[in-house]
Amino acid sequence: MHHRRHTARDRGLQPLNLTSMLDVCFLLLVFFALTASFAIDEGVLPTELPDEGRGVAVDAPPPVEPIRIVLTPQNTDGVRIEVQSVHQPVPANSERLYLMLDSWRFDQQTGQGLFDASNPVVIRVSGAVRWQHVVDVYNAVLRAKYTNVGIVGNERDA
Amino acid sequence: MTSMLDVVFLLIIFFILATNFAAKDVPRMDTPEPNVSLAEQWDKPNARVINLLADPAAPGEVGEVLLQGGRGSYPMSAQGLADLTESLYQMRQRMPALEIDVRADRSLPYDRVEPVLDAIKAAGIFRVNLVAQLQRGGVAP
Repeated sequence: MHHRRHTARDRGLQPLNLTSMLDVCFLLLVFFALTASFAIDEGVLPTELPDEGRGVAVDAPPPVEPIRIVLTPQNTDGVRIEVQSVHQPVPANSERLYLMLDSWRFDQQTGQGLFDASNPVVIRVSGAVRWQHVVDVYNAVLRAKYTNVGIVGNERDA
Repeated sequence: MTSMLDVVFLLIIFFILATNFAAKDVPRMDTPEPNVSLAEQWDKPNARVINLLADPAAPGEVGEVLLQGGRGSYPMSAQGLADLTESLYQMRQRMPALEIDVRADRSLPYDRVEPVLDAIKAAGIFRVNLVAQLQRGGVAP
């Protein structure tokens, strides 16, 4: 006995025309391919802008001497990082700055260190210093676990 | 035909899932890349982005100041910054906990970024997040 497979045509149905659906699919594909913008590897470093008119950002009485970090341009795109609070060699880069600040931070377990983590740190920046260096130094101070960090222009009084 | 349709559907699903439409707020630029970055993931609902794009024709100059990725463009002039402050002030009225993500090109000098920070402060917003590259390979120690 011969069984023949019944097609849609045999049953009186028209074969499904996929052309228009394919058109739509390709249009969607082109749209997504052109507009795709994949997730970028960016994050944020939270900060609080200093407000000269709102009072002092530091609320720890008595007033404490801030650690002042001065950034000035060096060569074309470089930066000179200088810590003014204490007499120390000028750090060459943000990594050395981090190590220095980290070693200065008061450690409750060992009882050693010069500054509390809440000690204000003021980053004073010359106008020509690249934003890259400003954020890099700010990140280094946060890395050293200081919590009260501000960025001000060099011509302003911190 | 069927297998081609399968591939097309797979590609569509891939693009739908992988596309980040929020990235429209982040036009392409080179943001700062700190050494051992502590930057946190960027998903604050009460934050709005200000982009400072470098001018490709004039190195060291801001080409555009974009609030929310193009919904507001402000020139780097006194009037433009005053308009930016006004826009931010209006936003802060609607959203008191407003924070601003400052996303600036790494090549810009600080004196081109500072006026924008001042404009943000003038709007009464002091909580600012500096956008930087995340630490490659995971969280910084």
